[in-house]
Amino acid sequence: MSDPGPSPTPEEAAETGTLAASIALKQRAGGIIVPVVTVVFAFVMSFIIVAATQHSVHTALVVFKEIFLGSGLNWLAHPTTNTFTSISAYNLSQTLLQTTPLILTGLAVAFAFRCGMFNIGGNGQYLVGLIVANWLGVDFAGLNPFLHILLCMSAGTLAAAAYAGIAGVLKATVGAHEVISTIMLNWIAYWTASWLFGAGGALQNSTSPTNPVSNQVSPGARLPDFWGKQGFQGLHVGIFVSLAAVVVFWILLNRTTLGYEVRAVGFNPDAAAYGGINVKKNFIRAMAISGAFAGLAGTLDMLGGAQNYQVGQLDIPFIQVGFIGIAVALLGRNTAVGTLLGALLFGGLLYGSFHGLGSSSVIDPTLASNLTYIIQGLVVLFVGADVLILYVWNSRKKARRRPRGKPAERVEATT
Amino acid sequence: MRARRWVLAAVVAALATAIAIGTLGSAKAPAAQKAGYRAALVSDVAGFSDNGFNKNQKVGLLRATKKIGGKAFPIVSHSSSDYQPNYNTAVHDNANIIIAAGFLLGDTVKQYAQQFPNIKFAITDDPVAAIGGFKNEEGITYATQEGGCLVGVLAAKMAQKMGHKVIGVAGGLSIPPVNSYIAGYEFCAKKAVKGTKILVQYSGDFEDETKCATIAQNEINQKAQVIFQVAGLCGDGALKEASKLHKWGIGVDADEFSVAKRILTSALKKTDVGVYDTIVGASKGKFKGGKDLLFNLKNNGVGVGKITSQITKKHKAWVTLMNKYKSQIIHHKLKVPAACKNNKC
Repeated sequence: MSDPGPSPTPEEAAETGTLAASIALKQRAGGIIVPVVTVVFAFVMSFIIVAATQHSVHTALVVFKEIFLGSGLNWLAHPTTNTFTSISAYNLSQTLLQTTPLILTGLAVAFAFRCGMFNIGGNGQYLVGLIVANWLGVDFAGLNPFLHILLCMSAGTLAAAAYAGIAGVLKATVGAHEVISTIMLNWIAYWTASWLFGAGGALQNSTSPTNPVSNQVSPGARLPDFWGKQGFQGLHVGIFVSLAAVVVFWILLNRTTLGYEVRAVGFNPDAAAYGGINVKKNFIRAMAISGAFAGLAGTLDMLGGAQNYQVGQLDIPFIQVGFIGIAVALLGRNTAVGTLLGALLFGGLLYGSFHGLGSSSVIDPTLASNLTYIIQGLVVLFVGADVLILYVWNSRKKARRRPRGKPAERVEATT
Repeated sequence: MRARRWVLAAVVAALATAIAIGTLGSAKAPAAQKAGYRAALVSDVAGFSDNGFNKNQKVGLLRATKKIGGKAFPIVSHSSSDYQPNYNTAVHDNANIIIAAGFLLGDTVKQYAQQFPNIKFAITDDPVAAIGGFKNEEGITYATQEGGCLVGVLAAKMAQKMGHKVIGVAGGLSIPPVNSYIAGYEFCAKKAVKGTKILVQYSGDFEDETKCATIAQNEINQKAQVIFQVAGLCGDGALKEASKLHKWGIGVDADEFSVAKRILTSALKKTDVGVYDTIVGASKGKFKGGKDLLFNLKNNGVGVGKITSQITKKHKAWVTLMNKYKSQIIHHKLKVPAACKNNKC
């Protein structure tokens, strides 16, 4: 309908009424319903867990209300812009701040997935972006702010792309599995960061030599906050970069030759090779692009951090954005829009449960943070189970249709 | 395109639900009760279930608010980007005093103290000078070198008896709160037993037990007989490793006698006492703005935990010697340095 494409898309075919196409549409719709069902299931399960462990349904209700209020989404009902007088506005700005890197690490995982690879190295690539952005952000003080930010972001992104490319090269040349090599690269990045930011390290704070934190990037290289009080960890413009990355991801994958090759390799490398696509080149290229997304997340966090957002040895072990990105991509079924929504869900869940329950009156704050992990775990578990849900869904359909029609071929969901 | 309509419908539905619940939630939210003294405590990245540093401060917070009939707000941080939001939460909870559980929160305290002059701020393990020295700030400092000294005496004696005058340290990071323990430990061990050698290694971590276990293993390979852990949860790994290899471990901050089988004793930093005194004092109008509170052996803010029966039964003289050091410190006859030579341990 709104699609200008010349050849009929599955949806358009569906409207012409062939059986195969209408089933394809159902499956495509399932592509949206299944993640929603997954999330609802995860929330229901965690609700039961809270109610059972706290011996009270009322407590569980309060807990989930506190998570919701903590995420700041209630701000949408009462929009005010002053983040210092309105706690909900502040919370929403912090939720979006957490969402910003998650969108990118989610896209990173999704892009590799579409080429048939599992990029677990999001954390390491994020760290590489963060280190490079810090280094250049500190060193080129006095440069034109726009150029400085551009330099830090592009250098960090390229460095992470090259770093992830190592795993791609290893897979293409010697067949080393990318799951293993990206995990190893995570640790290399982690210890490199530890060494650089640690006491005596090259990038360690020069004003307090015993404090194992990085120098702060020069004010000129800082991404300006557009929502919140300046210097108090407001929401910075990096979120627009993340949103732009969603568009880039979609165009790259669905409207370019490169994206076509990536998807072809993802569906079936052998068939792609038979069709004249250089599979090895695509492995390397897809891995590098995947790393670029994760590295960009690192540069945004480094340049956008509030005045005292410092990354030292104590922080690095707590960085989880690369791993949460896997859950985000799985939930978003490796699509652009899905990943965006998944990141928003996890951003809200993380911030909402940590801070909404941080000083809760009904539940121990220490339990509260574990609750977040429980919900996260359940989401991942149910995402893994969505194949099962689809199977049940389809077999129900088939049972009804078998007497009339022939079984339809499976059509991959793409958005 | 129907699929897009599905997405749109899902988004609209989600937003509608969000707004509905939001309206519901805010309508039901009760007005904040402002009666009573309100004290907040923001943990560092280790959280309140660490082996004692944060945990004990929470104990102090709860004890103090119970005593004065106030309300306690313990707030957990998971990463340094949580510090700002947590302070914001405390401010919105109308806290009268906000305590930072460690020197890592220094920058955040400085910013908020400047922004909110009517709220009182205190910080564990950091002098007020390091956080701006404002009138609404108080530093809660501990003379941990004094506790480190006392366990150093026992460690040196035990190592001497075991045949090698070598003792070790598994440190977290080379930062002042860690190094003051080590400085006291080294100073008094060498004083109690001439020729004692000290091995110091840092794990760069306060969480991961395996890293400190590796350090303990390394130092024991270099003939260390006693390992003093100054690395929080990570250090528990060093204590367990030392026990496994039939050497001795010394706990830190809290009494860690039950962490492993062979624990000589523990160097205590009674962070609960510091937090308790600060809150109770502030609630009675005795807040020493711009100054530091010092907790030491004399006012029982630092000390020594349970000592193994191997010493209390068989080597009572060592305990007597340790108590001699203790009374010398209390009566200012012995001054234990708070930092190692050239700031390098």
